[in-house]
Amino acid sequence: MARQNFVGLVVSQGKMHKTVKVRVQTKIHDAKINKDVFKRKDYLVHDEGNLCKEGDIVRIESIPKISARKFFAVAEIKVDKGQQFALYEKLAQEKVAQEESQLVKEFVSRRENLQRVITKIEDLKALDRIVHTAQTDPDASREALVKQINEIKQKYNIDSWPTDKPVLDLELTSDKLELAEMQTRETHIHRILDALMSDENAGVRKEILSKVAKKNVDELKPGIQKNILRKYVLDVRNEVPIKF
Amino acid sequence: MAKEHDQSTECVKDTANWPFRPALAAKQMVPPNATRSKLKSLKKKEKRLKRQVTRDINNLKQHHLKHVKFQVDPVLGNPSNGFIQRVREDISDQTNLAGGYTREEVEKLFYGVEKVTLSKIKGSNVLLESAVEAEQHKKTAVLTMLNMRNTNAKDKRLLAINRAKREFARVEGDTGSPEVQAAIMTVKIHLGMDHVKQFHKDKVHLQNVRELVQQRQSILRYLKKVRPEDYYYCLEKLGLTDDVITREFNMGRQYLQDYKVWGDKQLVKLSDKQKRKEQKFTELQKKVVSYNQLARANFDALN
Repeated sequence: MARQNFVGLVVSQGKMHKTVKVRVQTKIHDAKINKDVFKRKDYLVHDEGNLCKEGDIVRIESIPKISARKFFAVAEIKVDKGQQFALYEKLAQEKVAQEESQLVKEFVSRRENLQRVITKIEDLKALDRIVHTAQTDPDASREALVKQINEIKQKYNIDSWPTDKPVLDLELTSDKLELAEMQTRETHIHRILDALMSDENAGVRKEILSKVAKKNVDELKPGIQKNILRKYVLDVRNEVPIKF
Repeated sequence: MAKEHDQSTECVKDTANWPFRPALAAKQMVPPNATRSKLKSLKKKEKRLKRQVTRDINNLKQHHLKHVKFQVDPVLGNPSNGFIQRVREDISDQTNLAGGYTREEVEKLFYGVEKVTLSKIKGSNVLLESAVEAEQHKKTAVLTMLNMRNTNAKDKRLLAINRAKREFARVEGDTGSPEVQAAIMTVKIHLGMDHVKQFHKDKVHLQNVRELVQQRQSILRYLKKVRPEDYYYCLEKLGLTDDVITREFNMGRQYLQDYKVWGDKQLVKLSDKQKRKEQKFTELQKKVVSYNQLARANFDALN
């Protein structure tokens, strides 16, 4: 005869050696209310390898009684949710430890960036001062001043001083440039898309689509391809691969 | 009290690795010239004591199983948590500016302003120098106003919340996923607890923090249901543990007393019955400690 079998949820683990508590739920008919109701019963179950974790769903099988309350053993683990949780916990610890070091690096680089901006401004101020003395003070030695000016110019890639090109990129100007770029792309969007959809640029199109699309490129209909490309082109962070 | 508690838990836990059983405490040493009746009574005594020792130890074990402590502080989490440390650094960092401004941009702008002012001045060096000094003065004034030390609590909180959004966002610009919500609540809880610690009479604030703790618990419970992998990542990052989220918790006076939010203040008054129960428990602990000592002594004497 087949042994008695149940499927249940592990509700307690780690408190007793080689033993887990398994909750089994069965439906029984209540004669008084003439309705099926759920009945729960907890069994202490033998778990030889200490494998189960809280949250697992297991099949248990009856065995000869091995202690006062233990007459079932784990036959198989059906859903290893509890073990998966334990694994996730371990993975999370490693991931966070890795990220921590990355964040420290970011912090340091932000500090360095600030320092770089400040020194650049100081240098530019010094450049102004040197130019001013060169213009006003007749006694100063020209050679030394010119050498200093050239040094600073070379350091920051400046062609001439004073210049009408922007020497420092402000957030304000970068936003303005972005907006202008967005507007030009929007006006030329039809031309860009037509060019991208033509056979000449098939390689470029495929490259973009394989990077952005969730599906396989060959499965996409042309209309959908076009829509994805439109979204890609209108995002200013992406570069447009063709000239327009 | 807490120290004693830990000591006794250790007593229970360690016994598994000891070479002897604590029941050895009941061992009666038989003198060499013992009569038969003496021998009989000693045996009887040993049997009775053994039962007593086993019962006491099991009772203490049961007590510990019933009163499991949280692994970390259920409100503030792990004190050495990296995320919270970064938030606190952000708030106290002098290079961060209030009102969403960045130091780099301010420096650049003032450079431009200075340049424009100087270009308008035509004349002696004295005039130029005084203009430079005036510009410097302006810059220092603005930086002082925008310094994190001189800004209000709301601004500091905004800075901290922005960091939480940045660190927990699934994609750039994500402000509503459960992870981000939980992180923002954690920031609010930490800053709120700073206030609560300082002003113990501000009941409204305490209640707000309490509600935030419950809300965080429920949103993380939801996250566990839908995306368990992200849930554990989020917990680890916030310095919390699974039991803090899944077990029942109320930030009541008992919590405030246990975790010493306002120092060693007694906030919960025990009834006579509860006091007796506590007393019974401490006595039990002492008993078990003495059993273990006695068992060790007996073990050494026998071997």
